[in-house]
Amino acid sequence: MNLGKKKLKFVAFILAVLILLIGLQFINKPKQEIPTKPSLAPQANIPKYINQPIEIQNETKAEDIKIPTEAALLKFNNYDKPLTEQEIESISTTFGVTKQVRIYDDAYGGKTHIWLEDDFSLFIYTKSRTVGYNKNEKPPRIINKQLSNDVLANTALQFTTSHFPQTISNSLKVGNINYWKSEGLEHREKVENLADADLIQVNLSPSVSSFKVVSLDPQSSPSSVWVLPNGEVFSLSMVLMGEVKEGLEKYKLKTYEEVVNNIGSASLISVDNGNLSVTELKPTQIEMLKVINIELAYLFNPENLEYLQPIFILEAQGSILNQETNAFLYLPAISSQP
Amino acid sequence: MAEEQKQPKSTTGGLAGQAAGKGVKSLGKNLASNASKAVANAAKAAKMGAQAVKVAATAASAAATAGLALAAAAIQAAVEKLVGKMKKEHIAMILALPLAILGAIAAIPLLVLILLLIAIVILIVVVPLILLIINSGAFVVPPYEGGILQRPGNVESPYIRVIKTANPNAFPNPATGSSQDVVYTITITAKQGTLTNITFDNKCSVIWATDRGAPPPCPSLTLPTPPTSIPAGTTYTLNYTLNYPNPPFSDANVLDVFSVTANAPLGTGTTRSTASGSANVRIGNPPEECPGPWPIASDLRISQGPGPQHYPIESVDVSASVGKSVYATHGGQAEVIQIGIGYGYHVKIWSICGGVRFRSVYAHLSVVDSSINGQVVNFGRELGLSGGQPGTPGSGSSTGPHLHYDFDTLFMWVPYIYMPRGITSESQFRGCVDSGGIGLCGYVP
Repeated sequence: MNLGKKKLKFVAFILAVLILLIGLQFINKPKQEIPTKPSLAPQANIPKYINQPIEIQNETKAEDIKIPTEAALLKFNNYDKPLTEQEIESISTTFGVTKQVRIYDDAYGGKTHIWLEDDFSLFIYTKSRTVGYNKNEKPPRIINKQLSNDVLANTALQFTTSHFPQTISNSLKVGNINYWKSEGLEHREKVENLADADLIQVNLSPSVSSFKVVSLDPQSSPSSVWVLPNGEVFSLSMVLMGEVKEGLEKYKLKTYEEVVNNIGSASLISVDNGNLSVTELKPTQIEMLKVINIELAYLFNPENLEYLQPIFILEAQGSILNQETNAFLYLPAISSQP
Repeated sequence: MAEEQKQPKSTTGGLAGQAAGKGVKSLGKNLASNASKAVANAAKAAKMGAQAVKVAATAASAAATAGLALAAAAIQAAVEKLVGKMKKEHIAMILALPLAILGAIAAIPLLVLILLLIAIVILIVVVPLILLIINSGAFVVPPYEGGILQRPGNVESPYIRVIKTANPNAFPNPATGSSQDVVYTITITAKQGTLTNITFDNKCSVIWATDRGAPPPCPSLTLPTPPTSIPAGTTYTLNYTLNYPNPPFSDANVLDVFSVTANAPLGTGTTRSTASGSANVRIGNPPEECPGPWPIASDLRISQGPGPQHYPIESVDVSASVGKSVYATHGGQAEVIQIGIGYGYHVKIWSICGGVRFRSVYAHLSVVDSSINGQVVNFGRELGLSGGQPGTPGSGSSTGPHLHYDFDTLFMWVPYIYMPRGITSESQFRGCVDSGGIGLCGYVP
């Protein structure tokens, strides 16, 4: 009995101390107002082409997805410096332009210099610091030489260095290589084998980037060189970023669990390798999308040139317009958690 | 696994029951009577204890402990009383049942006590943690819901939202010599950080029947002075009134776009951002604008006609080398859109035809006139230049140089598109695919 009383006293004492501590917490609650100053964590400028919710299901496993804990932004230092007349001349000369230049005031690219030559076209967009080059014919079906990826990568890098001095370009590396097979004028398929491809896309990234860089096409970087199977450069899109630096601040990235919890808020960016224009799709035409891979990348958005921000690319499969196909979604990678 | 965890519990219960059964059978009547009294006493005491614990659970955890102590004391007393009246050899058997009941009864208040302690610890740890998070200024940033695709003239940035409304936004033609006031309201929201170095701009255009000549300019507007700053999360509202006299404002559509440019915080620095909102005022009965002509030069080959083989929207492809001029096939409000895939760089023009609101699309462009976004464009206006060579800016997912032209709610045949040259019927045009240059789809007339 004595032992029981002692225990009772001990438990009562512990409880009293705990209750006192809770009370003190509320009494000492700071009187300051909740600050309205928002977090300065940058938000990736990801377009929302479809505003209604789409059913998205995760089919990845945590152990298969490697996500770093933090990342910096990539800063595009020259984003607000249009290409100078001197730079434009030096670039156009390397392509051997002969025709009269046409100047066009483009909605996004700003003052654009256009050369429509007999066998190629060259566009230099000064404000967006972008160069577009292409041969004027449709990609021919050429017997595949079975060039190795190394040869294709070197072809792409040599082409860029021969036309763009590093002072106005930047140090580039090959991100990834895609093989494409086209049909008609508006249908392309990504193929696994080089022998089946009629165009090879060599995606280039700034050397400083730790992850791959994508544009608003999840399978393209802002700078890419398209090569014919015979090793000839067919077309190019190049953003002359100049110096690209990693920002000093590092931001906490979403964990795998946060990504999965936020999967419903991801933006659908591309379906069927881009053959269907996602802007024209209705949510009812999309059946459940099943996410099969999650990859971290930097997004280059022409709407926000200054920074390349980390995003997650969610690769999915689903039935769209009654056809089983692929889809890609973007999700901001910076965590909103403190 | 759940099944495995359940198994030991039921086994223990079964064994206790078996032991109790054996004990009762082997005892005499008196002993049985005493035992049952003792059990009843113990049960009563336990019941009291359990009730005390229930009260304690709702009032304070100390009471729960008292209930437990009472129960324990009562059980102990009952057991002592029972033991004193029995022989040693019977004790083990007699104790089987009470001990089983006692174990079960004692488990309940113990469980309650443990749960209470866990709740208290959570309160002590979690509540201060939440308070700490709130007081440190951190909060969950709402997801960005904006995008580059908005109503014509409406562009939301990650940092600024602009909404412009007109009141009234539609009215009959004012009587000749009189006028109508329209009050415009603009709300500007600082979505993320405080906006500074704010500037305003307003662009306005009027559309009316082309046979009336050039439309009049919009009523003159002195732009309001921007505030020095708009604090984060707040909305700044401004109003102004414009007067529309008749003449000249009759049977016209007035569209104006109000743009806000400001510095917004980003990381440790700032970024310059622009957003805009548009308002449309319909005066009387503005003319309808139906399409008809082709948007590109004559004699170009049509590579694909409308139909299920093409795209679920009424659309045609015209083979055109890079750099061909592309024209508006009807008047209306233009929207310039840049996406990475599909249409790529494209223009939409919104209008009304046959009482139906529709839009036309001109896709895979290499350049687009910078002055048309959000503005009213007239029929025949050059919108941009064709593109579509894979891998070039603006081409989207195109696999060869061409112009993609489509309608959403109109049928792509005469009178909304002139009959192609080289074909004789709609059925020949619809569903056609020009393979190998046979010219099945005809040519732009």
